[in-house]
Amino acid sequence: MKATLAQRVLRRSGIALYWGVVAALSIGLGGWLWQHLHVAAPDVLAFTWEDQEVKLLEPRALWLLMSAPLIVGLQWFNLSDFHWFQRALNIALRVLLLVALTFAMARPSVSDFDSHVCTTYLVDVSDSVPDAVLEQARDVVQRGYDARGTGMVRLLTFAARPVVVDIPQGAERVSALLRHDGEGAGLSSDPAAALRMSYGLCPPDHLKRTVIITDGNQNRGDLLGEAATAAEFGVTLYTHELPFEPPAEVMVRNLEMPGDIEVGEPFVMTAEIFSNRETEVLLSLTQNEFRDIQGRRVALTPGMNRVELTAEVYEPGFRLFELALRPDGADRFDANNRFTRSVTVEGRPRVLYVEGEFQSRMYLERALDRERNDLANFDLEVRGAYGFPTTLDELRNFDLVILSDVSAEFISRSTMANIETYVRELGGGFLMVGGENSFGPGGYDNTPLEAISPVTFDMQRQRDMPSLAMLLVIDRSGSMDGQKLEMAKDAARAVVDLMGPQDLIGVVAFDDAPQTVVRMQSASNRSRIRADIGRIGPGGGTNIYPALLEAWIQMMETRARIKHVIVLTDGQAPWDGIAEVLGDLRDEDVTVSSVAVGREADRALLEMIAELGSGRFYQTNDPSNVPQIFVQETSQVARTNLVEEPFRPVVGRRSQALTGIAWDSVPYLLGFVKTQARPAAEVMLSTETGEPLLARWRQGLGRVAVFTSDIKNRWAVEWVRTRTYPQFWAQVVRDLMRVNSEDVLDMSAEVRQGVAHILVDAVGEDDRFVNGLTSTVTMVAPDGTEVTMPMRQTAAGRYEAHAALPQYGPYQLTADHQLDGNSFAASYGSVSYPYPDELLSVSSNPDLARRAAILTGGSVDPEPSVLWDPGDELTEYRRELWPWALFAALGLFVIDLLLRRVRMFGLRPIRWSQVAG
Amino acid sequence: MNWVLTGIPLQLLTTLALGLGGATTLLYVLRVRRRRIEVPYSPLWQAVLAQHRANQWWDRIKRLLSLLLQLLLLGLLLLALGDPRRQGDIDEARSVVLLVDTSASMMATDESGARSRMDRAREHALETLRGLTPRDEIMLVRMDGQIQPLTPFQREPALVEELVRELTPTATVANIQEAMRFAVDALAGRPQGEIVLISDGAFRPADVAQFDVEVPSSVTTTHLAVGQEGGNVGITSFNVRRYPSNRTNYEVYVAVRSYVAEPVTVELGIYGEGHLVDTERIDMAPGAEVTRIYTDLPSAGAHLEARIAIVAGDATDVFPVDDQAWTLLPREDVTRVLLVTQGNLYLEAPLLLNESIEVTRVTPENYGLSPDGRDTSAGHDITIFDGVAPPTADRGNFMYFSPSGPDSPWAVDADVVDPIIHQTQGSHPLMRFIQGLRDVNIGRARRLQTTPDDVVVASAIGGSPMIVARSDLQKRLVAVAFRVSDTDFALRVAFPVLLLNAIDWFTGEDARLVESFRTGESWVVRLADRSLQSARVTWPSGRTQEVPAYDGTMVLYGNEPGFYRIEAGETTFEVAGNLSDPDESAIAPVAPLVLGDIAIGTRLPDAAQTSDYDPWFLMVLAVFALLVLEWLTWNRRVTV
Repeated sequence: MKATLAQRVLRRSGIALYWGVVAALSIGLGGWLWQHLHVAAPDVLAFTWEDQEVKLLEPRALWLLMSAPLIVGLQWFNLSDFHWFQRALNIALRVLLLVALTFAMARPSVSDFDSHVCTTYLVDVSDSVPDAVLEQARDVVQRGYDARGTGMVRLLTFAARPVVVDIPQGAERVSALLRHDGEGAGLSSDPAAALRMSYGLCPPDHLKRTVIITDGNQNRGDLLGEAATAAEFGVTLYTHELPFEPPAEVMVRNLEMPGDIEVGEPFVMTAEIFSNRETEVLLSLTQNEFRDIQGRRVALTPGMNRVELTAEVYEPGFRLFELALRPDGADRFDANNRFTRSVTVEGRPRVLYVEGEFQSRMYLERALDRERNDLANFDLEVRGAYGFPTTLDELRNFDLVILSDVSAEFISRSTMANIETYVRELGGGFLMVGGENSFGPGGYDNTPLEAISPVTFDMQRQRDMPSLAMLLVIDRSGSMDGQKLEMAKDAARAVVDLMGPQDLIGVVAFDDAPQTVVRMQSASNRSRIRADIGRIGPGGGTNIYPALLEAWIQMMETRARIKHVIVLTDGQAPWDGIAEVLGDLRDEDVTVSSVAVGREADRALLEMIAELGSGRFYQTNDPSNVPQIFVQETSQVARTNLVEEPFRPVVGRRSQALTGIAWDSVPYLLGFVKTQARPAAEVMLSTETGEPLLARWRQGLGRVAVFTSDIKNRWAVEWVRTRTYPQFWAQVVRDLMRVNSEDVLDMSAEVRQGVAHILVDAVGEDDRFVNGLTSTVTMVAPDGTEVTMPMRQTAAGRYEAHAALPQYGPYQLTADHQLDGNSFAASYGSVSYPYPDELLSVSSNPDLARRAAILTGGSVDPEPSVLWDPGDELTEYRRELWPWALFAALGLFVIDLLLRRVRMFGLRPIRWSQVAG
Repeated sequence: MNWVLTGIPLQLLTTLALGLGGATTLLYVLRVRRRRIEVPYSPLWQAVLAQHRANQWWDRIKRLLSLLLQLLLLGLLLLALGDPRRQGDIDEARSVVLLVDTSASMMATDESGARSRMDRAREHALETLRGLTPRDEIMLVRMDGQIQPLTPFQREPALVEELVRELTPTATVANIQEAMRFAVDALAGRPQGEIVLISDGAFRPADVAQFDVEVPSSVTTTHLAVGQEGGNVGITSFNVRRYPSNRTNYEVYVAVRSYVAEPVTVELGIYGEGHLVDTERIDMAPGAEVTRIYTDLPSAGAHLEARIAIVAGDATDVFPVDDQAWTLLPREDVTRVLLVTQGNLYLEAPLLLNESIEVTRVTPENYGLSPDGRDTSAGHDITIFDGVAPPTADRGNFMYFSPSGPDSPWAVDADVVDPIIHQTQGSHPLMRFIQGLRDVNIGRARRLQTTPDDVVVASAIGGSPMIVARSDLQKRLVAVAFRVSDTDFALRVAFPVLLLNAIDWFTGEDARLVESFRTGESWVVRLADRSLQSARVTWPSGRTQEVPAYDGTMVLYGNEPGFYRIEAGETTFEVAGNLSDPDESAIAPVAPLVLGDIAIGTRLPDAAQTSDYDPWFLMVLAVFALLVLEWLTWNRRVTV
């Protein structure tokens, strides 16, 4: 049967319509998915359905919907003979099934609501909470637990940290409320941390109620701030105010010092003593290690008592006051019965002058006595070398220390380290003055004092090299036998004793031929060398040449800054070759001195040796002088840094210390110690040959200077009599002293939760802020350890630093302010962190927890029924819907199968061409 | 490998499987009547014969295969509903604290594709969540200036995922010490504790150096690092400060720091009310901090803004948060002072010279009620009594010079002749910027009887108080024991400073105060009305919050930079908050991370080795694919 034209047109239109729908479905769906999933690229796709926000957590799964047009399109090739209506239902069911699966894979979730209650109890178990209160708290928790019904109870105790207390499932009684283990665990109380932790203890589908039981003595965290956060989380906070019978407690809360204590003037300090009962206490006050007040009885009334104490400071500097009290009767905490406060009392600056040659102290002492009241206004203390302060506490009381001609043997390494700390961190001044016992010759090479000095003490230091190599060439011919040889051996031993451990020594004995008695070695092997020297015995004739040749060979193999040979003989010897070998020695920078013992010695030869050897010639007829000659010779060689030649100071750089002095007319100085200025040093005076005479630089908070000549009647013998001498030294002293008290900037410091907050306000006299200071602050802890930290400018004229306080006790603060590299001012302050904040707690502070509770909409002392009654409250939580989508898919799957297995609406004919192909 | 079902219970699944499987089988037992195919005559018999031959075995196989396929699909769907998961270490479930850094440095946009570190952190967090086994419990904690757990320990990662996606950084500094302490506390007593820290590691150096949290050996720590580079130039300070004695002028301070490794040129612009008022190009060396001071700016209530941008150099600024900062030039309120005196030019002069002080003078006889019946004491912020002490109102601020008489707040029993001020409390606000009063010559002073509530700010030799302060919620009082005219005090700089200090103390102003707040700190904001219970705060982002007030102050934890509008009673004012933290502007990421003595491992989370998708998801996907395929085969009668 042939189809009519109309049927064919209709059929083709149907085909076109069908594919048009499929294409439109594809394009529309694809476009929507492209826009919402690709262009917008959301992590989560949200929409509202029946006033509920549904979120698709895996929206990319929606791309699978693109299979829907495929399902529809495939229907065109269907070979089933079902009625078209049933086939249409088939398609719809299959598409719905796939949509349900897609929806499941997109992971839909909705908000859900519930009204179960979870109550968390937070119980303060810090040391300030008495045991009796803990028992009552446990009863409160038990009552709440008993009334819980279907609700959930969580329990948490807190002090410094919160700890979750487990309540076993089905337990009749809640667990005991134990204090926390660990050192200092109960010495602070952080209710905010406990509240924070409680958020996580309850399941999300429960209404969250929190009950806090605390004495309200919070000393860490911020409960009110945390309560605001809790309110945002939907946590309602309640509090139970338990009857709090505070145990008897007396404490020193503060020791208030007046701002302007002066030496020698009585002043009144005010002690703030808290007591929660009427009682009497015995007070004692110590100042540094001395007791100012002992056993003063004071009656206290409940509350804060202000007790005035009169004291007097006898000398300026760092003063540590400690007030201790002993109450009558019971007292819960002992640690808060003591309070320390440190102050730095400004007095006249103090200068310490330590002179190694004590009888010569009068020159500078008199000069400064004359000038100090007019020009410098300071107190001077003079001590000998043995009187140098050995502790930092003693040093810190001085504003300048002058060390003149004191050998390093008097200043131990630890004392030198103290001097370094005193300068760098306490801002003290230090001046080293020359003399034969100062600088390098004084033994200060490689010491902390050289490290902080503006000059190096050794002119040509080569670190790997010993400074001196000494070879003693001693005649042991027969003529030397007896006293001569013994004296020569004593002299050699004296040389060994004189030399430093870094020096080298060798001994060659000679008669006709040389014999190496001591090979060139470190002088530190003293006992062995002395023993070897003792073995020198008399021999045959006298021939100096081979001995000098041996000396040359040994010196060639020796590395030292100074190489010196001392030749000793009492007889005649051939001259042959001696001049040549001396030339060779000279080429090796070896100097040779000679000693003639007795009248028989060839004086001419030995003079020639000394002259060609660039050394000195000694003649003695008394063998007992030989050791002295050797010692002098050794000292002369070893101390080449001493220059004893007259010179006139040359001004290198103008400074306040040099003003008003006519340097052209200053008398000659007769000597100085050679040093070399460091690059950063300011050389204010130098010798005519350019070596530093007066140099200074800044080290940390303080200043260090050197004066390489002396200040007494040896090298400055002419100068000490002139008027410029006292003027110059008074000016130098003033220049180097610790920053004087006029340049003090206001410092304030307070302790908040164990951290010192230090502020300095730099306001100039003209009411302007001082900006651009480079500031550091040094904090001295109660145990003497020091920390120096930078202060940061945070606003106009405002400089700040913060430091955690590791110990309890008083802290002393010293700030140094520099402007453009120069010292500008200092600041002084102190903070006291006498004991843990927890020991301040003597009564409850219910106001804190009450305010926190009100902030979250909670109340005080709620009945258990209030806690467990959800009222109209519902808690919202997210619920995933994918299982429901899968259930829907299961149902659709079965219906889909049914529709494909059971014919319901008749059939349609299938043409052979469709089946065949 | 063992598997467990965490979704629909097994019993229900079995019931469903039996029911639905039976129904499916039953449907296949039913035979659908053969299709009727219209065929041409000629090949009829061949086709019929061929079909007949085939049907004998293929029809049976086809139907069986189709049934098996349907049963497979059904089984997969039911299994997916059971939400099967790998057994894993099911007997030792982990407790994971997922600590996500939301501090300011997480806003740096140095991740690939100019994404922020926060974006990368979210990815890390989601990967971690997907790596959890069914028994693992996880707690999500955000870490910035405050530590906030966002969930309890729970086994439903899907709920946490949503919160992870909502994490946003704040303009505060991460408190790593507190965060780790919290995490350790939270894990106490839990087996298999694990802390997963997702952070750029850009913490305060001091916090890292002084890290003192003891992490038990049973707790595993893992650091998932974010951040690629630390290129940043930031404003580290921007604030306004009043001159100590000039109450009407201000100094503005701005500090800019470079954190890039090469020299750059930075343009600094200062804007007043949105208009550019000053701009400057600054060459900055690596690590340098440059400060600028703008002096003598009059108070005007202007909004000031500082902006910086790198205009030359190879470096890129990936941290925009500190490129802007805000501050305010406060609008100076006039302080109304009532001076009760018979006439005292020394006292009046320092007050009259100050533009922000409005002085009204009355004689003692006219104090209280004026001839026309007005209360002359009302409407003034401060009343100064010069040598008199009449009755006063219950509230207010009063300063007395040489008080005496029955209404004096301090009893006076005698006079002191030639007192020498010996001690001062330098820390008291009245003595700010005053070095001492020892050299003040005083002819005569009152001997004031103080009470325990008084603070003796200055006293003479012998203990007689010379300056006393008293304060409670209603009143503030200052007594100076002598008349200015009996001394040479008026000739000294300290006198006007003392007067201004007293006015500052009365009005709650503080010459030391720096008009700026740092985000991530609790701000103590003063309110003019001390009786207010709360104030309404509008944050820079526009959200509003009611903040409780107490004794004229409110405490606000600010974590957004910008201007905060505060409505307190009838007054409205603003404060500015800035990041202003050189440590947080130092955004260079740190990995591997060492906290104190503890090296934090950088092991990737287990998720990295596992599939991104849950097993149920993959099963449903398989069902989906099979259904599409089956649709094709069913339409072509390959399956039936």
